[in-house]
Amino acid sequence: MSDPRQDLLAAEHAAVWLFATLGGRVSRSAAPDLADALTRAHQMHRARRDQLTAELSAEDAEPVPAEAGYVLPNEARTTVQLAAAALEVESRCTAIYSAAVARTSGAGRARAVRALVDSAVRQLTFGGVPAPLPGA
Amino acid sequence: MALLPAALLSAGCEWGPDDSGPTVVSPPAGTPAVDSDVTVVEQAVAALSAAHATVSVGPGRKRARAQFLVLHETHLEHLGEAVPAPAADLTTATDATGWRSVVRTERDLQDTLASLAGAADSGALAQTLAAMAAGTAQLLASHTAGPADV
Repeated sequence: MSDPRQDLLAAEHAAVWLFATLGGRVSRSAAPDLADALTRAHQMHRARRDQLTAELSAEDAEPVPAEAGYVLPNEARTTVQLAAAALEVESRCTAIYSAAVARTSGAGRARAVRALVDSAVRQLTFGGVPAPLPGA
Repeated sequence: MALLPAALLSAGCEWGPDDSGPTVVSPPAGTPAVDSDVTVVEQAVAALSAAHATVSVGPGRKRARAQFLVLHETHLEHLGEAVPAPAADLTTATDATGWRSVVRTERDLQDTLASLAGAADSGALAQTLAAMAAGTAQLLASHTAGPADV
C-alpha cells in the first residue's frame, strides 16, 4: 500500500499551482475578498506541501514531484469562474484529506483531520455552503 | 445502536491498530476489533445527543439553532441512532448568552468528534467522524463570521 502522505503531497502540489494561477488572474481591486482568500489558500497549501516534502525527505523517502502544470477546473476568466474554480480545487483537497483520515492512524490521522476541517471551512470563502459530511 | 460498526464490517472496510506516526494502516488477518469502535460510536452519540439537547433550548437565533439541530440529527442517523425528541424550552437565558452557549457547545462537539476520529480503529468510522467534525466546523463558521457572534 502506498504512503498516504504521497497522495496528500501530490494534491498539495496541484493546489499550490492552481491557487497561484487563480490568484494571478483575480483583480485585487474588483474582488479584494476573493484575492485575499486565494492568497491565504495558496500560503496554507504551500506550507503543507513544504512540511510533507521535508517530512518524507527526512525519512529518506522520495517525495512525489509536482507535475509541470495542472488543468484548471474551468476557464477561470471572470470573478465568478475564479471563485468556482477555487471552490472546486479546495473541494478536491477536502476529499483527499478525508481519504487520508481513513488510511492513517495516530499523529498522521490527527493531522489529516485538522487539514480536513480547515479545508472544509475554507470552502466557505469561495462560495461553498455547509454540508453535513464534507469530503466524505 | 451499533449499526455503523456492523455496516463497516459488512463493507469490508480497512481496520487497524491506532499507533503513533503517520503510518499506513493494514487490515489485520483476524476478526476486526469491533468493541473499541462500538465505544467510540457510543461516545459520539452521547456527545451529539448532549449538544442536541443544549441547542434545542434557549431564546433567539432560531434559524441557526434549527440548522444545528438538523445537522445533529443527520449525524445521529449516520451512526444508526434514533433522533432524540426535542427538549422543552425552560431556559431563562438572554439571546446573547444563549447563543454563546450554542457556539461553545458546537465547538466542543467539533473537538470531540475530531478526537474520536483519531481514536477509531476503523478507517471508515474515523473518516465519518472526521467529516462530522468538518460539517460542524463549516456550520459554525457560517454563523460566526463576526466577533459579536462569539
